[in-house]
Amino acid sequence: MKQRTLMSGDEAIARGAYEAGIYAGFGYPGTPSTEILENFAQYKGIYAEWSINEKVALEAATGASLGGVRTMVTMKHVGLNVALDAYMTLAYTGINGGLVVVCADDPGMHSSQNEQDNRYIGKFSYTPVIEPSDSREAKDFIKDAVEISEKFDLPVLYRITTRIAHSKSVVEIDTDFKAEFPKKKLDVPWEKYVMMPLNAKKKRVQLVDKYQKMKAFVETTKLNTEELLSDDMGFITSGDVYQYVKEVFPGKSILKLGMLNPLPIQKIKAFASKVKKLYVVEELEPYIEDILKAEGIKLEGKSIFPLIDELTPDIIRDSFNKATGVPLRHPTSDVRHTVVPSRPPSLCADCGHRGVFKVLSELGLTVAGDIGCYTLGALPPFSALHTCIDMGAAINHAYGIEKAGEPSDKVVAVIGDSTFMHSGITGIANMVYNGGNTLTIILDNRTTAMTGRQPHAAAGKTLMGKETNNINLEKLLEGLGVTKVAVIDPFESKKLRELVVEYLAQNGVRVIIARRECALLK
Amino acid sequence: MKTVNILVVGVGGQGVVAASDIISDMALARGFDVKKSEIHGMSQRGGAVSSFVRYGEHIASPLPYKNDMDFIISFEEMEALRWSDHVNEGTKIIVNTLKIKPASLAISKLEYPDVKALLKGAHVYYLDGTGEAKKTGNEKVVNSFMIGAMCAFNDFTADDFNAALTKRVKKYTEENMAAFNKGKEMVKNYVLS
Ligand SMILES: Cc1ncc(C[n+]2csc(CCOP(=O)(O)OP(=O)(O)O)c2C)c(N)n1
Repeated sequence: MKQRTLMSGDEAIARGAYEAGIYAGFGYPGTPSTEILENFAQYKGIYAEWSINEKVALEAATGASLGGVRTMVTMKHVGLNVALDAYMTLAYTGINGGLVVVCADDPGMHSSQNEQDNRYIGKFSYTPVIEPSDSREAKDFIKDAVEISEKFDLPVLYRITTRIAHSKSVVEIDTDFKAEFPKKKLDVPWEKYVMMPLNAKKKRVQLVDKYQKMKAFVETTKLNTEELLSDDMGFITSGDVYQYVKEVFPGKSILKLGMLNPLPIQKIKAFASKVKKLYVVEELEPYIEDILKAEGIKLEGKSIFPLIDELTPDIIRDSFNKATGVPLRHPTSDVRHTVVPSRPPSLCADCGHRGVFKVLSELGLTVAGDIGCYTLGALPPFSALHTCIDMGAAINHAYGIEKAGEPSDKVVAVIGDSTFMHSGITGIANMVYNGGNTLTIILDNRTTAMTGRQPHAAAGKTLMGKETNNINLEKLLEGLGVTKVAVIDPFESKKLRELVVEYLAQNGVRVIIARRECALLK
Repeated sequence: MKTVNILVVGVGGQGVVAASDIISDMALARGFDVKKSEIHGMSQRGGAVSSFVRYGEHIASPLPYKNDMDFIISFEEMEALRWSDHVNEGTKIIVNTLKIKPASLAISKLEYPDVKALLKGAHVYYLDGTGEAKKTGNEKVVNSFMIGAMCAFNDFTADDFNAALTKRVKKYTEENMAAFNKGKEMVKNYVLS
């Protein structure tokens, strides 16, 4: 039975993956991508997991692809930085079962540490980039992505943004649909997958050759659609921005790009010739604009529309009117504008992290930090966290500060349990190896709280809800050669303070595990 | 038919997103095109939360123009003020008079604003939704109350609401229905000041 239903982009991608015969999904949580795998895990007959980090996820997916099944990897934009080593050379080797990397950019930095535009990674790696503009396309284009992956023997980058991931729109679902999961034979010819220079040099040539074929393919793919409605002006756009352009410029011609790498240059030139004035409206970088300008196509883009922050219908309309000299429509309202006190998110009242930051704040230490709920320790009343750049960095920051000659008893690293498992372990290993003296506090709340309480490798459950081996942090640290490990409840303020003071005065690699279950888990 | 634009706002944990889901489902069941958009992520940790719902014959952008809002439904008093740049002369503003003081007051040295003095006019409805919800025995049904209040203006019925609600919430149907009807009734009988 056909059923109209409202789905977020994330839910729709999960559904699309299931319908496209994707059997295996790997990923690491990250807003706004997290719900894709959480929803995919609900379907029957599939396999889904939270991997330790994005690199592991992509590599495991690569293995699954070689093993012959269709696979998907999900992550937020910065996750692809972690997985990029695996991704760049996977473009050389290619795949066996179709492999789609779904990656969510966050224009506006609603919940991210940067605003990077991952469309460039397609260009950088010579891999196809596909971008849907609503939930229906988010579902449907996954099938195209799998087919393109298998057709060109390449991983495909499936780029979404926060507004696509978290907006809901109408999707039609066939409730009787039964998925089939094609399985090829394991196939690992060594010339294809062993990227020693001997083979890699040939593969590099093949990759550039594939790119030429992709260039021909994009000229005709139905992923790019032209709506020729007027000849005075035309807009080239993609993703959520397409919907805003429809809203702001009804009745105007639009070339909507569903495939962002490579760009359909001939199709675009033909479109350009049909309109008097051409505009590119895109969020973040002038990605499309720069490529088209290099092709000699005349257009306006970032000269009108902002580079920074996400776009909205208001921003697009007002920037356009400003540039073209149309007086701005001002909203009419008799409401007096006033300063409304801000309501930033804060640590929950009964959050264990509070106990740690209370002590660190009292001791006036320099705190190398990391990413998670506990990053909020940087804000008043604690103001006790001084760095947060990328996941897993805290330990290395603190260690590097020590190497710069700063006293190691004035610096401490704090890192969440999920972040520690993601990429913190290597920092401890490095300190043990090179002789660091920095104190690390693992904020162990038994979950990945920030992204909505996903289980992780040291928290005893899998994405599919199974009880599993629970990596024992104390033993892991001992095994790495850490001098001292202590476990404490962060709400035992006095004891915690004494312990921190005691450990700071010592040498060697010391770790305090501040363990208290996340208040939201109860 | 003109597209209807609704902005639901409040504080993390109040059920803002759930309410916007139910409104969306009511509109979908009526055969409308529907889009909704919100930013989650930080919402659990007591931050400000907002969600846009749009329905009509055909909806392109999930985000409406700021000055095109038909309804602002605020689950918390001060939050209504935060969105005052989305108000036009016709916007109906329904405010739950619950005050949740943000932790930032202590640091910013600002006072909790006198919302009723700042946000007034022919289309502002101040209702003690939380108080009414408590009377049903379940404070959580305040979101049904707020949806009911909105439904005083558009033609969604108690049955439409019931159908959308029971798709998502299996418990407390009676309390939710009572709250919905109460919200609707209180707006209908509201004496605008
Ligand atoms: C490379 C990368 N992947 C994913 C994320 C999204 N993310 C932010 S914090 C976090 C983990 C938080 O968990 P934890 O370290 O246990 O701290 P908690 O929030 O529980 O305090 C994740 C997955 C990110 N910012 N960067």
